[in-house]
Amino acid sequence: MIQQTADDLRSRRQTSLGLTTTTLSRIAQLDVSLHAFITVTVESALVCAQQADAELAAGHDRGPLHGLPISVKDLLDTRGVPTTGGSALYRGRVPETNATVVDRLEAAGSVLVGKNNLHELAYGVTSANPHFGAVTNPWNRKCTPGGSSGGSAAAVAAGLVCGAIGTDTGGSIRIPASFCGVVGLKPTYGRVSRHGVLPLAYTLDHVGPLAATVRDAAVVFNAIAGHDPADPTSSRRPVVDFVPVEGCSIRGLRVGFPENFFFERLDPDVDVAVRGALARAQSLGVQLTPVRVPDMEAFNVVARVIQLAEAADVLGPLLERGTELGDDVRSLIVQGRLVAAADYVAAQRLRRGYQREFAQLWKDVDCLAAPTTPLTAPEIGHTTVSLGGPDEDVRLAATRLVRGINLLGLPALSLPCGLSRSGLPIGLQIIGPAFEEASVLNVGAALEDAGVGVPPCPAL
Amino acid sequence: MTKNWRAMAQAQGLDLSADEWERVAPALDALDQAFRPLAGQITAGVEPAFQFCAEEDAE
Repeated sequence: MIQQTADDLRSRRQTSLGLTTTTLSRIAQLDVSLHAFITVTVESALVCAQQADAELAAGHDRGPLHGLPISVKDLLDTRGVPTTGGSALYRGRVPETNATVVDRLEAAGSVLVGKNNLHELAYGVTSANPHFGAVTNPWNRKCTPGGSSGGSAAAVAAGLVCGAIGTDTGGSIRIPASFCGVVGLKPTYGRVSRHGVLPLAYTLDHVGPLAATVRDAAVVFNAIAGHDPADPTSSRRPVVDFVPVEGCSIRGLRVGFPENFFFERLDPDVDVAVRGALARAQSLGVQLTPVRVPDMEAFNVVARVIQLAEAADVLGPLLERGTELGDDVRSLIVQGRLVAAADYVAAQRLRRGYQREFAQLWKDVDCLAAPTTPLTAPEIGHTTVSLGGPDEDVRLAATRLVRGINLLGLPALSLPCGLSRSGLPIGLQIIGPAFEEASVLNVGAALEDAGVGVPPCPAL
Repeated sequence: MTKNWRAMAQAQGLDLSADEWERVAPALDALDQAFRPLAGQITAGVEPAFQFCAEEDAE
């Protein structure tokens, strides 16, 4: 889709100004009930679009994102544009500089049309923001889009932007991608700069793209990936062109099929759709290999201990203004304050061991395929879900299959692989070895080419 | 045996309402009960992942 629009701009069938004007008009129309945006940057977007048209006319081509409308989660600093983190405490906070990712999107010529709504302070999975409105799911307005990057996913699903940026500390890109029927990539830890992004948990935070297709996500990823000296955790590994070629093959690839954990306690529709996608992969020549994964429940527990402690360090000072925090976020910050320092260190030691244990899998397979979430988007306000066992907290259920991958820092892609009987999207997760985003995207693109996906989101 | 979260909170000057305790204490109890056996399995010589790299030999 991005490539088609880029072609249209270059052949003058469309202009960036026209595209941006239409985008802003649609946002004004739909966001009244979608709540996917906290700030819409109307004036600067129109100026930027005019500049993009002028540059293209002058032969200055910045690449496939040049002149295309995009949005970023309101957790990333934008020069001169309010950046709230979805919190009333940061209402009116206007950064003087851009996050590195925003700088890179600007350099790629994209047109920032707004800042996406999110779960308050990125600390939750519903995006039911008490200060800026509950983001709704474009597929069913009674349902949550997931979170915390719910506004980013909803904006993409509604066709408002060509791509959006999200962050993922315990699944916050992949969960909304799964619930909203879009593609989301959590890159390897260190692959995309976190500089200028309000932190939640230093050693678990990742920044990545959401888009309508795997190749679109790869185009956005191309623009933002790579070393940033301003981020001390940024990797110096060289980047490649991450966009899968047309007709990319996955024949002979060893795709791990987890026999334990990932296919337990699923909504039956999720189970059927993901297995169907794996069957499609087999038909493309993939070698589907059964594997037993380590104790992912333990990974989740350790990741939660680390996240609680690190987030309490970041957000703890906000407790003094507690009445301006949502109840759920305040509760999590308090919990983090009560995690013992020794337990945090123990969790980080366990993490090291788990990293080594999980890496053994890559001797036998090139990637893993699993559901992204065990359920489809629940209705807004639902706090528990029953998935073939005792009732489960929706937050724990939504993060169950994704959180452990943050602990490992591995790249993971979520792409839609079907609809439930009630018409809600289902996500397939492809997990790869560290810095193997290109392989993960290649698998996703090949499946997409073979028809794995969902139809366009019904008109809003 | 569950920890006395209320005493720990008070020691830190955290003043929580009864409603807040209903959210906080059960969640902490559950997490602590799950974490304690794992912490007991740590083997000597394993360093914490403070300078975390997604790949063992990455810089």
